[in-house]
Amino acid sequence: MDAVKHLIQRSQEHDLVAFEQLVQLYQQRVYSLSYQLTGNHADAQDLAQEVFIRAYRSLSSFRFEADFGTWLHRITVNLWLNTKRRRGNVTLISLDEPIHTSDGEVTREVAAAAGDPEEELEEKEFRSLVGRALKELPGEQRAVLILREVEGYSYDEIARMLDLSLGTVKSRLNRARDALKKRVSTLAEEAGMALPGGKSKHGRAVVLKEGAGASRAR
Amino acid sequence: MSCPIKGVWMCNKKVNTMKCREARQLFYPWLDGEVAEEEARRLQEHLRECPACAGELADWQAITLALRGVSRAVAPPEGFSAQVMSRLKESAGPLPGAGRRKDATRRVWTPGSWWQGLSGTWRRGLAAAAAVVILLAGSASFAARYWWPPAGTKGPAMVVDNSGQGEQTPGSGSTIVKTDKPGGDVPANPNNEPRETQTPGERENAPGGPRDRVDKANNDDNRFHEPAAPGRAANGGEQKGRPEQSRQSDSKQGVAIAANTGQSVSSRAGSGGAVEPRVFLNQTRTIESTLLKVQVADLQAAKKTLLAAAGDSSCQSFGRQRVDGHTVEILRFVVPVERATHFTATATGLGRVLDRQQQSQDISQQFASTLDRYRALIARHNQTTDKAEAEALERQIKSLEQQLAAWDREAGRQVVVVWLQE
Repeated sequence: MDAVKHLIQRSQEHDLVAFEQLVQLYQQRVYSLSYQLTGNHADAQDLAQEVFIRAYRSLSSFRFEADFGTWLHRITVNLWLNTKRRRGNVTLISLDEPIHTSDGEVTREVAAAAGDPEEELEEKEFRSLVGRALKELPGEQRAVLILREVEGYSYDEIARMLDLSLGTVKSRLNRARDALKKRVSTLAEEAGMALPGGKSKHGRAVVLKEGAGASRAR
Repeated sequence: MSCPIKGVWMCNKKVNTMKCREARQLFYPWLDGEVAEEEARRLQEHLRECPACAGELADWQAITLALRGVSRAVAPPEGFSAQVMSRLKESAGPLPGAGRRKDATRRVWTPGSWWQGLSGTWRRGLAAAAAVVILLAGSASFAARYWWPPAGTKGPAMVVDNSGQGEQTPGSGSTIVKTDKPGGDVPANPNNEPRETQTPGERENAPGGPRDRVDKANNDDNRFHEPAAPGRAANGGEQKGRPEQSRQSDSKQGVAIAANTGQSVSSRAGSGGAVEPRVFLNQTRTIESTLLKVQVADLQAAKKTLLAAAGDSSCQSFGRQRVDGHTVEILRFVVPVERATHFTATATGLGRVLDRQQQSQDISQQFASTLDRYRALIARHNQTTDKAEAEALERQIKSLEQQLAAWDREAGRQVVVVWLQE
């Protein structure tokens, strides 16, 4: 952490070499979030680059109160929301995305190595279905869901990042979840896919893990 | 957020356990790991009794898991940090504001006004087809390089198709760009690195709004140092000026120059040899476009008719897709002015015309400033001794040239985008 702090301080004094190291340290995190938000690599790259450029220019306002990565994420999500708002919430779907055909979905994803192939396929299909549903949500709902579920930020952190009250974050998150669930159900129905909950009605045990949503590394 | 009716009755019989409504209110906290022990125990008890709630929560767990599955870290493309750094160095240097002087020449043609004038459906459909990008970028291969992932890419892909062709859409035949006119072909990028960001979709407008607290202090100007990214500049309004009918007289010239488009900067393999600027005439350039939305009975037949009418004009297809429950195919034609009227008439005769929009963009100024910048970069490239810088410059030069060539090719012609809907 000290090393990072040192790099930040040097960058604040316009040391570009130090800043480049910061970029290398944090590019993964910034890019990941950019990709989750934009849903394609072209926009993700654009967004992520812009984030670092703005970060560099605003470095003097970084007071070491927050984690640097969180600070960058804050820039990322706000930049994205702004762009989206200005664009009238039109989502540009790039051809970089999975392509939907009548035969189902063709994704560019490379299959994971191990596991039951059939189950894996199902899981993959479901995941891409959820991903699609997520993309159809309004930007602000999508942002909170991604920050919470994908990036694992706490309500508090999200509230600070988006300059919202805790209550607003919670209610927005709940609305987003409701909307997502609804969308997922519709898409699943269209695709003739059963949701896992549907299966459980036919005797399949539901195993609940304590605090299933709580812990995750980021 | 209340309990769906269907689930309620099932569990009301049990007096001492939790009711569905209460249980469901605990779902989100549960998923967040914020349920107290006692509540968790009661919830679990309830779930054992109530298959409806259990199923509902199972759905939720699956969705949450899937969301987290998404989070498999996505790696940035190779050379990402180098690009950020070259953008930083290139734009403003260490001091914000230092780049101001240059910005006057950096205004890029913005599709802002054009884009905003479109109706919602158009936007949706065009967006879905990624056609916007191509419409605005002016050439399919230009867009293809930035929007198509390389074939067979594993894992996180860069969005650069180094072949310069769009035909390699992975995995599906549904989005193929056909460029009958290979004028915009891009020679392979020898460095195999992503170009400087050219994503036209991301910022039609200036970044930095009221919520953007982090960036308060920055001036708008510095942000648009990216050359030739269509859709980048902020000031759509500024360039709205309706063009005079100058295109008529220009069209011949435009065509003549277009024949020149095969050549490109990059015959050198990133070796740092001197770059010869391509010659472009400084003249008035206007791009006229027509958007036509036609409902037809037989999509295939309509398409055939259109292709026949287009003759050897350039045509790109964006494949079939579903938009609002209709099968839709979007085609983009670039036709010579003298044929435009006839072609448009053919298109409108295909069926019921649902929408029609006309747009003119005088890109002369943008063209001139882009050209300035292009030349300046070449001068810099030919002076530098730093190989990395030369390569970075070359990439920029190439994309500028690409943009210039595309504008040149289409200025004085009529771009007709036909949305066929079955």
